Amino acid sequence: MTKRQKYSKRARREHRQGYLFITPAIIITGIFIALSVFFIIYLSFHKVNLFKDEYNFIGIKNYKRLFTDETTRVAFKNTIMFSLVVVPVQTFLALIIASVLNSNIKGKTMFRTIYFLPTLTSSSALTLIFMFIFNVNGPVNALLLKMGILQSGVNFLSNPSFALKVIMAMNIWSTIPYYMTLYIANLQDLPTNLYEAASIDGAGPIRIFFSIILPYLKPMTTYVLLTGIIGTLQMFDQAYIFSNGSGGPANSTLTVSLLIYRYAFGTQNAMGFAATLAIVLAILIFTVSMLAQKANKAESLY
Amino acid sequence: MKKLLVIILTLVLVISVSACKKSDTVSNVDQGNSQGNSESVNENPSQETVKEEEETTVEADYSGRKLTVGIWGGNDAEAAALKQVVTDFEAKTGASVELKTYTDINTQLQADFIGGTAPDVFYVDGSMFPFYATLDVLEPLNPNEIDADKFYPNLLAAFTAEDGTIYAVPKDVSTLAMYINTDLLSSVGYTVDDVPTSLEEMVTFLPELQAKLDEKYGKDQIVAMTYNQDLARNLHLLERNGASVADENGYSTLSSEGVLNNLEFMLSLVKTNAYKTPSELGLGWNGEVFGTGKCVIMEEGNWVYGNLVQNYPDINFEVIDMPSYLGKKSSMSFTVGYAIYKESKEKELAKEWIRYATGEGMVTWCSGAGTLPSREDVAEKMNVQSDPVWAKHLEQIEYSIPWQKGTTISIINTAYQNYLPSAVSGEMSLSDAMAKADKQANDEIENSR
Repeated sequence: MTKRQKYSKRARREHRQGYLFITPAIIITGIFIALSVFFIIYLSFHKVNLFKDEYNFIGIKNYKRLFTDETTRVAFKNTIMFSLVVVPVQTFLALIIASVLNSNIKGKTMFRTIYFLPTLTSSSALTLIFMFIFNVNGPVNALLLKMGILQSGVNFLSNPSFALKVIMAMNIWSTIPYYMTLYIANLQDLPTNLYEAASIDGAGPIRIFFSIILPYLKPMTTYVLLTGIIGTLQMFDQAYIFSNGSGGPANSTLTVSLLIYRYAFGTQNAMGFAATLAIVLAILIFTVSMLAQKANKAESLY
Repeated sequence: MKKLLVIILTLVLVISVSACKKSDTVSNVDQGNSQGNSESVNENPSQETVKEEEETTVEADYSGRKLTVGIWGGNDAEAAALKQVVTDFEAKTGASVELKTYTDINTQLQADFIGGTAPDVFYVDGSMFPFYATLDVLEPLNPNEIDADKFYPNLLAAFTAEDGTIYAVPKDVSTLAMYINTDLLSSVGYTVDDVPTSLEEMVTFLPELQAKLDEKYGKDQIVAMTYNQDLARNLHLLERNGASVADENGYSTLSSEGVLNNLEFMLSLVKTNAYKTPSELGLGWNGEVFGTGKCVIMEEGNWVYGNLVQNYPDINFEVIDMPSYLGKKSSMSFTVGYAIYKESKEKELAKEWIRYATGEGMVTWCSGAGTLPSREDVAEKMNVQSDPVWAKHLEQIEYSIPWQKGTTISIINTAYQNYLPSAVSGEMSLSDAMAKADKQANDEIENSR
């Protein structure tokens, strides 16, 4: 009987005010996020023709198609491989560069500024720049030719085995600075007496890195991993610009986002399947992020 | 002091906010429209001169009405020509015209159809027409209202649905022809007459030409001929001898025997190493390769003519027929039409626009933008025959096939462009590559039905 909480009149009025304050946010979130999510889930069970406003219920046929569609398999393979390579490399390199730039080397500030520049450029502009760099007549080919590694220029952009790797390199190069800056900011808080204590104990810089810096940055690493995973699994704009929307030479730069875009628009009439793909991608990102978070916490080095 | 600063800051903010005049252009920012070329010209013309020509012009007053015209961005010459047509139209009818420029018209226009915000009149590419016709978003046109009998019949047929209803009016046509850099050719000792008139002879001619070019200019500096890996360019070759890239239901038949034979021939040209795509040379399109003097021969549409004259004036060239294949001459023609949106509220004004733009306006547009007129009377008025380049392009209409093939051609083209490079580079055999392309296209077509 005593479970019912009695709020005083004043408390109730304050509650009402609170709800009033968050009403705009609820409306906006409700329409743009909640409603959209429910609509997508609804779409995924239908065969949709948005022009004619036709929705035919087809049950789980779209989900079954996920397993038989060859292009879907390729897209998932590309996306997962992309994420598997880019996330560890960019996290690790960001960590190392951050710890180097945190120490007392000359020109620290200048390096930090220079290294931060790629993040300020839009990814579309970067894609075009990299397409130029890796062009058949571009600097990279010229360098490799001069060094004698290649006999004739390799067309990185039209070669299925190289196209995705170029995008990986570009992505790593452009996101490392952002994470590096986060790490540097985090490292500023590290109390210097820990370094002193470690060096008194005879620890060299590598030991300091693994025993002091790494554990201290664990929470930040979780964030970097999570945003890295979410970002790379959703990569779209670079693949689109690189392959002009087609998914690259022999579907090698086809990511799941690009596939969703192709199925949703164009003459495909496959909006329902695109919705299904979007849901599966969301579930995938969620699962991987949860796993990454657990893995990072599990080995607590504190 | 601090208060003064705050007041000044507030004033600056207020002024800057109010200075951003709310124009009545439709912004496509969220659709990734980076070139916001939308213009809204609100002129109240004072001039009274109206060109009264033929019986098509209706002297109605549309002042105060606004027409949205959906176009895709082109080069500067096209933009200037269209602007002139718009100005003339506004002077004539008193209406105001707003141009809505799309960067990716196929995707964005579809989104506009779904959202109900499509422009009153818009470009329809000949190859996309069959698809749009099935969507029930185009307004059927009365042949009498649009002077249907004045247009070239095969062009009008490209915009006619199977039941005979006309949904769009062709505003121009472009064809492919062969461009030859006469300076480069003569520098290695050939004349235009030496260039073979059949593709079979090209297989032997191109390596010879390439060898001479390599000798004179260095290896890999200038290529003999460029081509494109695109069904829009290759279709007339692939469909020779009764072959077809799609069957009667729209399914892809790229790996059918006839198509494969023709493709084998195309690959034999590629194997000469004197026949490359612009991207293999690191450039954007044929026009750029030709204009920068990096190739001797190219097959391009008449849109490149104005570009060459304007941007690359020191290249001397001559335009000849496309080489024949299997004894028959052929080329591709590309036509674009104006269609009216079914839910448009300005249908009469839209019909006026179509009448004008495909009537008097066509002269302005075609001369400025560098395309061929789709009506014979306009062709005479423009005196197309007087310029040899134009005359040559006009001749190609006779044996060109239009770039249009049912509702599924863009799916087939995507699959084709996806897998052809692997066949060209030798990674996959041609039949394997095309079989994969077929499978990809047919899976998608099957699922869209």
